[in-house]
Amino acid sequence: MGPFMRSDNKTDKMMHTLIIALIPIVLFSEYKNGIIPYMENKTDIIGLCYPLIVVILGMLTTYLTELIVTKITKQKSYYSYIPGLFIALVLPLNTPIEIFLLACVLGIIVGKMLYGGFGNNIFNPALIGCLFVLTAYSSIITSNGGYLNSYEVDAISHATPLSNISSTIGSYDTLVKPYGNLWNFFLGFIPGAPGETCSLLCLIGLIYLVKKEVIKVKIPLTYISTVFILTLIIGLMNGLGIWYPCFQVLSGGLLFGSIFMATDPVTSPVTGFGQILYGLCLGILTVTFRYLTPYPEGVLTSILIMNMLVFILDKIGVRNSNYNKKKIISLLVIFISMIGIIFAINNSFKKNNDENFNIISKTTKNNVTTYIATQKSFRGPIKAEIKIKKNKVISYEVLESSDEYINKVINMNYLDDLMVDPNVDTISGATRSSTALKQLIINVMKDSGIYEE
Amino acid sequence: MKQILKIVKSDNPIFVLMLGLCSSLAVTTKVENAFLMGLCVIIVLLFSEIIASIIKKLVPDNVKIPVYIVIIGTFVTILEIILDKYIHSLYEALSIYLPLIVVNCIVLGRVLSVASKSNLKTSIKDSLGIGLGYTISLLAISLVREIIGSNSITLIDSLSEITGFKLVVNVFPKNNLIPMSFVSSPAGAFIILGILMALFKKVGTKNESN
Amino acid sequence: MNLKLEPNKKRSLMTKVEEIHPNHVYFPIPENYKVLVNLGDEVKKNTILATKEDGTSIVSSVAGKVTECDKIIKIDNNHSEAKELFDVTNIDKKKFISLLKDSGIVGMGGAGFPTYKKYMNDIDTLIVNAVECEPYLTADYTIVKLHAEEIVECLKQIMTINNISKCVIAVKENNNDIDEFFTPYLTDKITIKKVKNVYPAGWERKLIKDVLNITYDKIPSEKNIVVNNVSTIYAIKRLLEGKRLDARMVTVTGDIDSSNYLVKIGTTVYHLIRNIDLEDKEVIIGGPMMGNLYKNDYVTPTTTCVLVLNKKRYKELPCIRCGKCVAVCPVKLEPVLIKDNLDNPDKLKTLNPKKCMECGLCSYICPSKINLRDKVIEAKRR
Repeated sequence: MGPFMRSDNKTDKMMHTLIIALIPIVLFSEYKNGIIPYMENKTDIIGLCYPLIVVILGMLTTYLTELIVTKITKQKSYYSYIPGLFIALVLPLNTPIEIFLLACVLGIIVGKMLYGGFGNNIFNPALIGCLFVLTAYSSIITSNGGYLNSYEVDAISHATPLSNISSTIGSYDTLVKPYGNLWNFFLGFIPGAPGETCSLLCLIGLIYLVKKEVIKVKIPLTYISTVFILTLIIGLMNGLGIWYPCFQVLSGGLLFGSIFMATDPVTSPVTGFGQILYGLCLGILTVTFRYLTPYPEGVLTSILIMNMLVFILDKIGVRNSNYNKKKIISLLVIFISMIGIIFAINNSFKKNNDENFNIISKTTKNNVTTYIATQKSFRGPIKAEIKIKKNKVISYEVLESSDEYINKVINMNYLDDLMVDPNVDTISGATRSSTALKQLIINVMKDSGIYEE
Repeated sequence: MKQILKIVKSDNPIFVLMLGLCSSLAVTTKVENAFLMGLCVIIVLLFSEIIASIIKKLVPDNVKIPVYIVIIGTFVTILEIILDKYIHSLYEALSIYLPLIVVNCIVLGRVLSVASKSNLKTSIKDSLGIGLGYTISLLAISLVREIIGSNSITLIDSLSEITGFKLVVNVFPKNNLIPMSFVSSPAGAFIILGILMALFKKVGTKNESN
Repeated sequence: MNLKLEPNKKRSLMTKVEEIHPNHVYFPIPENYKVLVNLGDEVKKNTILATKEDGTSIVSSVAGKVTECDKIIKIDNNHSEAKELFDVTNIDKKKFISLLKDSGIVGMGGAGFPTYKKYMNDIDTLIVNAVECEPYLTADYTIVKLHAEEIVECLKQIMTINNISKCVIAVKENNNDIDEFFTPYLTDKITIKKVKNVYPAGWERKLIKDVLNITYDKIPSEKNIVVNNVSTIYAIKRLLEGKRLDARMVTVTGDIDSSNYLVKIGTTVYHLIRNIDLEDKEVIIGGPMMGNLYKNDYVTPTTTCVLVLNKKRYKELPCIRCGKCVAVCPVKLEPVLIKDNLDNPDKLKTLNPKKCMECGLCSYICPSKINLRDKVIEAKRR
């Protein structure tokens, strides 16, 4: 008749512990997206309470949806308010309210009910809803302001920290400086989704969940260390210091996604070694998505892809007689793919750099070297002629451009400033074009050997 | 007539037999394209089955398939040439899926299994039933896809060369929720197809149990 | 992961041991046994009631008259404690084994393996299992408290007879200082080893790994090791003095007044609990983890404990795949995957449910209160 002594663990307690761990994050998002803009008089009373309203509305919608569907199909509903909480913390705050509700409804129906209810779903239901909405309605969300709340929309010119990263490796100035310093990333005062920015609270949540033994702790540890190590190697191969992997780990919602979404008990592997492989593969996929594809954040899609493969990971993790063989083969495959990814990313940087800058002709006459070169800019390449005499730039003239911002920049005597010192700031409002002009002269000067940092 | 309707329900090529899904997903972005594609398939199927049923005794067994493909190909080519000359915009809209009717499993499958074995009357009824079922299914899918995906119903657009006017209906007033651009893509087509297939089966079984 | 269970042992430790002399004793006769007595016979203590060629004999625990002799032998106790005598002089290894075979002694920790079979090979090391890892049980503790010196004397005798070079007594770290009873009598050949307080520390395979750091394939005799429970050793001591197995220590505990009893083999369990109010309680034979519900049993050599607990009903929720059962299994099985694949014989073969030792930890730790051990036992049958 079974053991007559049972432990104190209870599923109810585990779910409540999860919600308690998320409460500080909800309060922080209310402070950053509601109270601070209100104090700066950028929003009204509705905007003050909006983050909390969104959370409560999300939980209510998913609860009601699951209630209705289970009444029709005669199943039972368990813990249906948790996906709503996650959807509210992951979707940008500027999502129109009807689209947010659609994400909640679709997430529950497609992600949970169609697979057979609680405990039988393969995909994380919150992520299904978020992914659908972010791909189908991305234009509407960005036209409403994207990830920036009403306070940040004036102060910051880029969308999110990671959208700068795709074409070149970037540097401290382009990646971190526009948002302050790395401390801002840690405390969470950067643009992003409501739950994803504050790394400090996510880490505190992780420690609390580990203490209560509610979380599969191998997954976030392997995931975060894989991303850290891979970006460390990429950074070192391109001459960037230790701040670079820290920046990668602290941005893009990696901590929130790895601690709270990847460890969802129903959709993650059940065996110990399966969890380690899950974390490793997630790390590799996230780094691939961040560098080699136009999606800025890799966490959402990589978690959904690995959810599909969980059954294979559990097969590998079964501890029968050929367990050691399986371990060695799978770790070897992971290791080889890591090396492959690092080389592919480095190659893509080199290729991007080559395409961006091209010297068409270089002639020397009477100590004057004339360069005609092209540089990739906002809507097409800029072709310019630069003359260098006695290690100094004496003339800089734009021959062809398909970009109307160029004229605006030229009218502000930008080219003259660049000739004196190529390290001047770019012009806001015409960032890409002025960057292109700046990069053009820097590359030409590098080629003739007169460029100094 | 009743037999034709029975074939529409029990042998529906898209929802029951699940043949020829590729071209069906591609042409259902607009209601008008779907309807006219269905008409083309009806025409080709009708004439091919008539001819196949007439010559069924003359065809030896081991060259069956090439013979029927030639027959179907003839009618498809005739249709193509006519469309190219007279309604050129439809020819452009259906692009490659018009020649693909030749190897569309519906046509070849029905010709092989029904027309080569039964008499003329059965073949005509079968072809009309299958073609009608195909057209209705395509209409259903394209209605859903176009209303949700681009917030309009295109009734006469490519045919404007013959009729001389366009008729495009806008369904919902401006809002944020619809159009869902995702539904106009092939992924959305699969999902809508699946949902409609489930509904079709559910309605079908409910009728049978009654 | 390592799991500590709440010991609940203090309730029954301090009480005085009461001897139980029932009026009737019952001996169920299993398959393949040949019964040697008839209806109406007068038997004494040490009389052999039934034998089997490859098993331990069944021995009478009282003197009296056989009143039923069908599938269950019933003997009416005349309380005279008259004994039949048998030869215990000049014991060498061969005589030791034949004495054990006729003694009625089986593994008294609960496993019930015939003890004489363990001694048939050459033996290097003897491990005495005084760990008693199941909660609530204190029968072995009481035996050690009362007879520690005699147990060590017996160990010396066993070691001489069987040419054993080393003996280790294994005790649990926090088991109420049980090791202090042994310390005055230890020698250089007989040592004590404390194992960690985790469940199931008394499991043979884990015990040999912890004490000697040796792994074996199927049985410990492959590596010339014998593991015996400490109550079995005490029973062997009495055997070498001419007394076959007639009584054992049983702990009666739970959510009631607890104590230990020295009970004659064959007593009905009802006799032990007849004065206890069983309203809303359930009775379990054995420990809380590996015991079974009471069904009119009799005390056998393997009955270690009678547990009376308040009835608890657990509501079963759906599995959330938390992975705790996988982490806690001592045999390295995956109970959650076995539960999901009960209808799939090919998949079950790779999951290997036959290794399960039925310790009950998977059901203990499940947050959704699913009875995983029953599912694995059912998978074993398929």
